[in-house]
Amino acid sequence: MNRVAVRAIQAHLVRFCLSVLAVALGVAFVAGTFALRTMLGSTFADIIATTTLGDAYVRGADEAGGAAGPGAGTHNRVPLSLVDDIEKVDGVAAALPDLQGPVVLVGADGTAVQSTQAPSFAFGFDRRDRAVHLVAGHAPRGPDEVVVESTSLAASGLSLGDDTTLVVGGELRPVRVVGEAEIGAALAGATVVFVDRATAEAAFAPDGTAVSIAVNADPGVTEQQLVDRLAPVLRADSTPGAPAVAITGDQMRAEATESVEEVLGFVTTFLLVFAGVSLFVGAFIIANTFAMWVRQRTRELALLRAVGASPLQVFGSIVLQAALVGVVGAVLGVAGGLGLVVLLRQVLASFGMDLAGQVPIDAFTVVVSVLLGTCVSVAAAAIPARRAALVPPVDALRDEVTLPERSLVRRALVGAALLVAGAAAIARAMVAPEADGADRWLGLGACAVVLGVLGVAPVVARTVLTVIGTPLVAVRPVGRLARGNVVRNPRRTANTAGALMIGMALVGASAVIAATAQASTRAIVTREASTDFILRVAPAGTVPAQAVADVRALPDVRAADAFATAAVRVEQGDGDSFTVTGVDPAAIGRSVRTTEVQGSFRDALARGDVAVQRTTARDEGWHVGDALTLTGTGEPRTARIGAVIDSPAFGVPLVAPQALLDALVPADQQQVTTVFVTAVRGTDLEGLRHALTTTVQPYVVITVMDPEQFVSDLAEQVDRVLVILYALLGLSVVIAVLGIVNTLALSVIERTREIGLLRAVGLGRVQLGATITVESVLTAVFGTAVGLVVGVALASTLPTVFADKGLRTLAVPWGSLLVMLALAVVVGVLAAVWPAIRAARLPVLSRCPRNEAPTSVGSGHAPHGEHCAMSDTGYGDFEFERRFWVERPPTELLESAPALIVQSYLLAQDGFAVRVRAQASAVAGPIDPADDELALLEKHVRAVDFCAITVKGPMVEGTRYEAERELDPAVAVELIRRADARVAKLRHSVWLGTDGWVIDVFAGGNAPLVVAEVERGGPVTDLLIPDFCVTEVTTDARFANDGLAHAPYGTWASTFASELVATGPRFLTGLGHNHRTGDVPPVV
Amino acid sequence: MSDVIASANELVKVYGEGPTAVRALDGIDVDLVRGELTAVMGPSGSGKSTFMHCLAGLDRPTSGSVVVDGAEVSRWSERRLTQLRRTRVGFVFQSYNLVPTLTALENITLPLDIARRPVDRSHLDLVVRTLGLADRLDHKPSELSGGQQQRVACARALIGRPAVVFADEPTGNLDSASSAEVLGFLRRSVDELGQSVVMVTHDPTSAGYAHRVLFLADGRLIGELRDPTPATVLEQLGAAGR
Repeated sequence: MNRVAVRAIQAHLVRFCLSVLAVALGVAFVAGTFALRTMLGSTFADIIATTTLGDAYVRGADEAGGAAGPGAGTHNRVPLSLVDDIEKVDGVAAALPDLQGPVVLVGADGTAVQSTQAPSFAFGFDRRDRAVHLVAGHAPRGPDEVVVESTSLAASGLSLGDDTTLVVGGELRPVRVVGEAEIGAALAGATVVFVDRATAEAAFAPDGTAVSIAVNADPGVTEQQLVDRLAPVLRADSTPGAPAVAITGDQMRAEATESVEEVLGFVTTFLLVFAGVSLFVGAFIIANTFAMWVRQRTRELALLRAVGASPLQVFGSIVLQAALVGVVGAVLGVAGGLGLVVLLRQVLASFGMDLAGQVPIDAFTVVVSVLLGTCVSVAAAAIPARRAALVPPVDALRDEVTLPERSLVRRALVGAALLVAGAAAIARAMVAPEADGADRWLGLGACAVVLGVLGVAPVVARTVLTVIGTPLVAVRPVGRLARGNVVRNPRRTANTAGALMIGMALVGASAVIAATAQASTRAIVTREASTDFILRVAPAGTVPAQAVADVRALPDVRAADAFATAAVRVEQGDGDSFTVTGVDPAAIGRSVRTTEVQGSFRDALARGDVAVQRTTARDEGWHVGDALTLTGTGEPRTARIGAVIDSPAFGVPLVAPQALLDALVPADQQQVTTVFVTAVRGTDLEGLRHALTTTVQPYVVITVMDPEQFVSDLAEQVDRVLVILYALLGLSVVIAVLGIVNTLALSVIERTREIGLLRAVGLGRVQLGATITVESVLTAVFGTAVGLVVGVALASTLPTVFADKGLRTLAVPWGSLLVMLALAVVVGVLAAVWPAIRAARLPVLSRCPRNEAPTSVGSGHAPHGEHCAMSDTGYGDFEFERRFWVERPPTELLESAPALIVQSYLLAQDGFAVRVRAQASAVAGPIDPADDELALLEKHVRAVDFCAITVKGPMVEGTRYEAERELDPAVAVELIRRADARVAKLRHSVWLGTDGWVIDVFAGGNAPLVVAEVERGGPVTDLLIPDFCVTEVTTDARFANDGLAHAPYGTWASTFASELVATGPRFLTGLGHNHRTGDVPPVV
Repeated sequence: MSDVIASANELVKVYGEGPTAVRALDGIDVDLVRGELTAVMGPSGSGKSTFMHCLAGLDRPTSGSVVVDGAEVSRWSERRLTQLRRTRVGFVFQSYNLVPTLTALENITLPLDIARRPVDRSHLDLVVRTLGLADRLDHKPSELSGGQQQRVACARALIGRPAVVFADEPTGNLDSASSAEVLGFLRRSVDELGQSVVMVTHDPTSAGYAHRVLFLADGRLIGELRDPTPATVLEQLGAAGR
């Protein structure tokens, strides 16, 4: 039984290759995600392992807020004064405070050294730091000397001894590169600079505190011993508000690893969502493939059931096939996924982002990927397999087996129910966007709507495709045929289009979300910002304080309002950390206009109160007048809520006066990404722009923008994200396109006979290709249109549900959507290329039906190739032949033992004929030309080895309906004996050029007629006519065998001879070029 | 062991419902004898195929009962019918008897593979030799002539030593010489191997190979003939036609 399953797959590999590819692509995405995660994980683990080398760490005992951005601690800071005390402890080799902060290093080309989006750090240099190895030059000896990490040095283009500029601690500082150091890890693109200890302390620990202090032990002292010895010292030294504890190096490294893993976990989940979409889409291909496969093999499955296979065994055999497809696809996918990661690493390396280690191939990745591919494949094939299992064994006895098309009603009802439920869930989310779980309702609703649409798609497809296809019907016959084909099996069309629909729904939704985000940003800036210029820094950077001071000093600048952010913990509620923006109270109304829900924003800040965002106030249950206890890096402070605001521009939960934020978090640990600059009234703005640009130019990383540019800058960021989303969704669209190719190709196989019939009645190859292309385009457009409608509709609900998050202005990018629809047409055309070529190459008449056609096997092996056309369905029942009158038979070509044919016409009228033929394939003995037809038959009756009855239709342009059924010789001979209108002839078969010819030498009443006949699988065009053919008699009814049977040639031979003299030779002109051999000039 | 291999009692099969209902079988009572080749004849639409399908457990009668090899199969569940087909019944169909992707040998042993039963080499050799298939075993069905395909089908039906072989127009697609081969073999399997065979046919010559011929018309049993010849069969058919 398993052998049947495996053998069937082997015999029809091509059918499954696209299913395998679909699994492979989806699994490649999954395996690649896992491998990328492992690779990134090991990169960061390397960084941690090579940089976090202390045997113990001293850090704050309380969890706290602090700086926003890189290097941020999660605990309160510890005083540097501890360093000396720690170094006095027995067993301590060195105590190294973590003095690090953001810097900007100006490279040889005068721009900031920065690769991709990675940050730049400076560290305090200490020879005793185990992570750092000076490889050239010497340590920094003063504020004007720096050591640069090797990779960063290479990226900067600087060399030892070069002078450059460093922006550190908010000021510009001319420095000289005096050394090169190595850190034993790939830094994932970060730029690293070392400054001397005093500079680092001044810049990164102005308040005399550090995030932590690394402690190196003397040899022989374990980490735990070290911690135990440090503990009493730290307790004794404890500064109020800055309690310190010691933890082991292992614990520190474990915590660091954990937080990295957490971030990578988010990235992995994000990518896996898209991989999941790809696999889901791939499942459609597999389901369709197996559904069609089961349909075509119904009889074989019934046979298996009849010889004892249980339904479960049949189910199992299909599932086994699906599992094979899944395993093969998954193995290819794992290989592909790893290849993809190798490629990605090289691309990133070329951008200066080094990632550690070999591409990891671990058992987990392989096992999970292969299992996933197999499960998806098996699950997708389960429904077709169930159908296969339910094939009744009695079907093996039927000639034509067609599985009844299941009703679409149940599927449509389930789909409609899901659609309604989904819409209800979304409506719930829209009605109460502020309620808890509104986003969850929206997500569930969206999923239900998508599944619901998939459910009703077959029902919708019939109507929609009929409408979309209507204009095409004008293109006869292609349009009508194509529309008929896609509408005839709406389930298959809908499933094929469904795969594309999912991808396009996500694409459409992304486009709408992006456009909405851009429009919302524009609206926010227009509404809230009343500024002339905006200073921005690259992400992960900060505007140096000195730069802000320089700008304020410009004469035309009325105000420069910096917006600083930091993380602050709030005791009230769950003790969560919130991002707080600090701003000069005077800025409110000057450079920002904010909607006040309650209280006056400006007055509140001026009083030293904080303002709370409306949504935060609602979520936390805070009101104006409540007191909040805020903890930054130092002592907690209490502040009153003075106002509730509604400001997407601030976009943070809390806004505090700058003074309060400075008291909570040291200024150097705040991040300033934006400064609003207001000009003195009446100033020439272009002049001011020039002045600003010149002022901030030395700081390298600051950009001067007007509000319009600011908006476009933000819009560009959205576009970059959109491009990434499109790239991730692209794979599922590619898989969906493969699905169209798959369905078309399989349906071409399924329709072999039908296509043959269409071609036989005159459909040209180009027309056939066009029909398939139109089918493809209709499917693609249907999937895309429905997908976009669903996606746009779902995304349109977002501004209502997520107004809080700043998405307030719905924008639908109609242009982009139209482009996508146009792309669908292109996709449809591309998907049709291969199936169309395949269809066009099918022989016009599969005279010997393919092995896989259900009726072929066992329908009797006919000994004569030309009689294979005894097909049961009638599609193959056409013959294409041309006949010529021969004056002198080419004796050198004639066989020595020709076949004798004696046939009788039971009916012959108006070209319709019923003929019984007896054939003796190798005639023994000479033939007496004087014998009549019956005498010839009786003489050779023992040699008769093939008999048939043939039904013919009239000859039209060399094409004639002809259906033949083999007869038992005994019966046939008796029929010929009893019937009249007999013809006897000796048939010689010869091969001339590329055509098979028969030369019939007639006997009896038709002697001395000789007719040469050529037959092809398709219309006999562009024929090379041998020179023994004198004139064409294809359409001359007198020469048809039924004509000859009733009016033997012998009786009118002389009439014909005189006709020929009078009219000359004739040849059919409607069948391409006739070529002549020999000396006879070409006759058109 | 009774000498009845299969019997039908008050067998009725109705297709469809209401005014369009067709009574394909209209109360058939008959016992088929063990160790005999029984032919079932009748014009098209006489119900002979339906009769065989019901006997073989391929189709379920509307009423009445079928007993095969002592077991009343007409009330059996699909699962038990599957068991019946595996162990006690062999089939030869008019066409599409063979799985195209398997070789002749694999087709012959297919029922044993499906039932996970071991192949009895000596029995296989006997069957293959008797059918003259020894040099064709590695061929795919498409490489066999129609007669050879039917012989492979016969071998497959016999390989599991079923209690009874049901053959539905086994020579329907064969020329007279191949038909003679196949029918001769079926008769020999009865005479020499003690097999019981039930064969549906419309061809008097084929029926001439049987021990006994049953004549059906309009879903009823209208006559029978022992030790027939083609001539006596034709005579009986002629009588039925009048």
